[in-house]
Amino acid sequence: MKIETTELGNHVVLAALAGRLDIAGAGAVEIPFSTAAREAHVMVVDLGGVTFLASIGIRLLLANAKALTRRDGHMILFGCDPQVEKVLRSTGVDQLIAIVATREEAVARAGHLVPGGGPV
Amino acid sequence: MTAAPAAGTLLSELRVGASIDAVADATAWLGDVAEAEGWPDAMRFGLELSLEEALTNVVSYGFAGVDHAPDIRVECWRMPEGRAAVRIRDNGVAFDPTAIPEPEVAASLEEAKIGGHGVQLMRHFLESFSYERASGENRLTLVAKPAAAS
Repeated sequence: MKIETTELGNHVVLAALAGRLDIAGAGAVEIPFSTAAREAHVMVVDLGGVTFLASIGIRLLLANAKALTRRDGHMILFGCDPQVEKVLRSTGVDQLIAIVATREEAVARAGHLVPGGGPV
Repeated sequence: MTAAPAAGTLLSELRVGASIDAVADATAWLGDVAEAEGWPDAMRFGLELSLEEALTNVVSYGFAGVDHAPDIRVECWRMPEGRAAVRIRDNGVAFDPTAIPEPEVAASLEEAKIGGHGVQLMRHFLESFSYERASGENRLTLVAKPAAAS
């Protein structure tokens, strides 16, 4: 499981996850993912490389989305594989965290959520 | 369907340790079976996911306060009409995941409970899952069919 975080400017952070977000994978990225969430106002999460998502991965996303919300922040997911998206929808995560198709949509939406305009 | 998937053919069996690391070993084993059997991607995903969720429960909670040695086995069965079954047998504390009610969907992130999605996922991704307690064992059978992804 890999994670790459990029500051897009204006407190928008992109976190790109790749691999299996299962019990081993979630453990491997938990600390860097939570650290990135703490530094973000909007965290944009690229799930394009995630081939498997189990409930432990949902826990990781929800816990950090919840922490962001407490600080008036937001999380946006994009690039889901169809099975991964099915996991998110069947557990109701799509009702709680925004899911969009592409990075462009995610970044555009993030731009509306940060004070004083969006990232470059 | 109850204990032994009577109409099926046993493809492979794995003994699993009572540790979190063993969960990844078991899903990798199932991935190898899926590869060999040529399962459709959605069916493979559903069974790997359900095995991960079920085994995580077994190794996390099944042996707390139990003084006998853990014995956990996973079997994979080829079933009629392209289906596959995974059966998990363990001698841990009696636990019937099929009796867990569907969690309520939270109205907002503030109210959302973190966790409790494992059984919900099994319900969504499997054609059926069934449980019995016999001879001091939990026996959980997970069945998926090729078109179950829709």
